[in-house]
Amino acid sequence: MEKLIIVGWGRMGITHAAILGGLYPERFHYQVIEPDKKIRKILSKSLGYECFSSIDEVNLIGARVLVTTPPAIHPMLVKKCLDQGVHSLFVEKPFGLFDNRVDNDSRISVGYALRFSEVTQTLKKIILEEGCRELSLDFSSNTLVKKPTGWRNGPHGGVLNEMGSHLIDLILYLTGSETIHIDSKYSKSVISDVDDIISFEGKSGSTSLALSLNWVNKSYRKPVWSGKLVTTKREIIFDQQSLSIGFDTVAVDYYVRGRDFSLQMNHFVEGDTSIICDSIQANRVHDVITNIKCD
Amino acid sequence: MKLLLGDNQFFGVNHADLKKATETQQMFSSVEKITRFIDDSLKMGLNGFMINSNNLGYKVVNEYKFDVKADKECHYSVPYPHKYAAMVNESGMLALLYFVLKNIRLSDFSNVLKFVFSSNAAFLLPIIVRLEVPKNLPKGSVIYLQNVITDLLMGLKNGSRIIESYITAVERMGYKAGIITVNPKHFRKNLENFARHKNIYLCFNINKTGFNVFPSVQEVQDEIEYIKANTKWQLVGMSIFSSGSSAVTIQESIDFVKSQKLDYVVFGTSKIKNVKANLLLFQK
Repeated sequence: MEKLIIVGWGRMGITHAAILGGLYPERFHYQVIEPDKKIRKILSKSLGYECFSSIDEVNLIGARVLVTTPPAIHPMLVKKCLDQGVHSLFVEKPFGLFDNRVDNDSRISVGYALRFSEVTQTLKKIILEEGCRELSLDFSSNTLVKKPTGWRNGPHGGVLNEMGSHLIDLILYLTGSETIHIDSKYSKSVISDVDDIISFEGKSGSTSLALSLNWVNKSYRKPVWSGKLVTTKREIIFDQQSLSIGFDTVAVDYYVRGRDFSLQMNHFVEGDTSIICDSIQANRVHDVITNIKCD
Repeated sequence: MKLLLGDNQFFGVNHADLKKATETQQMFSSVEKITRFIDDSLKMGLNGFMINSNNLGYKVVNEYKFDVKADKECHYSVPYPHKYAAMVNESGMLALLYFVLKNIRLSDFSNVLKFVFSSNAAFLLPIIVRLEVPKNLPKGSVIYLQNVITDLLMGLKNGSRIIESYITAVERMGYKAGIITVNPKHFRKNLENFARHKNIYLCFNINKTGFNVFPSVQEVQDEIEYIKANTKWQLVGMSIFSSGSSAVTIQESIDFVKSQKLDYVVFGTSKIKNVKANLLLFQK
């Protein structure tokens, strides 16, 4: 059996473990690194996973590793994994922090899952054929209902870092640009002490952009991203699960949270780089966020 | 084949059209409006209704006047996943444990003690199920485990054992155990040995276009044949209209599911005239 190490047994660690278990039932021997003693005990007794308190306790050589910890420790964990010769490394977004960055390496893929959605792939194909004059994206949710504590209420929290990073990556991916030029922006704190609502207009290459983020919108039951694409030929309205011109769905062998998440793990395990967010691209998202915050 | 009214329209769920989802949710903003629609649908001839344990759904079931003589069924699904996801987001994984321990009753002590000595979370399941089920839900009703939880557990190492504990806990409470999954083939493979002779209600996506049917329509059709030949399970088809896809007509969708060996079909609609129209097509 091949070795797969999951660092951090939080929401994303569990989600990826379940998808991998469903997609590849007999392929991997799992080891879980989780610093919380209670979680380790419950996890090993309830589900039988082999658990460790620190990455220093496991042999990383040749292993596939998933890093799903808070982003502040990404640089330290990634360095250890790469120095000790992992096979490949999947790191959840955001990739490190804007002021605590992770070095680039070709073995890294980063969890910007929107790239894997059929809507995104269809839009990418259309843009390659017809160009991209305008792109507007909107994210709305009722995620924040009370003031967050800890890092979520500081410079590394806020809707721009936590949700906006997905859409900024999407903009860079769709337009093929390396950066975004900001013309005007609006930012507001409603519940947290940092940004809860943010919007900007600008340019990415020759594409006119508009982005709007709001995670304190009570009229939304669940998070929704949507948008409008104007090409040289037509206007296309879309959201995370529909496209005004329709799209072909991709079959997945196991579904937990969305086809995009299953496809993301599929690509990681198979080493399929036809869709990937590499470390260079993920670090560019930080550059854009820093640019928006400081502009 | 029995017909059940689904609940997506009540709670703003549409897997293909988010705008439509929000519009229909606004039509069903109160317990009274939902109850009236359920009653009208049952009077029209549907055999029962399926509803989730979110705040509104819980209230609907707790205040519903069940008529034992009417032979109508309530299919209830637990938990409301967003509630627990928000809890984990705000306070971490152990928040779930603290939530359960804060809500224990005297009757839960034996399970809590077993959990304390073994650290096996399966012992907490009966408490979680009890917290989610309204007292008014008639015994003998079906209680389903939501697909988000089923499919998460099923992918984890030994997660099927937790699902087995769920089935046992629900049966001990005097209800029928139901499972919602979008991976019916995996469920059958993982749980067949444990549950072949149990009266499980297995609910999964099946439609003519293959919308959210995993891994494929053909493989799910093969599973239906296999399960009916080899188990005592009741099969419940959902998402039968491909979430309103224009690629297929209502008539074609219904003809397709009628050709499958399903025991139940669940469909949602926000218009009572659609309930009637669908009923006529099923009866044709």
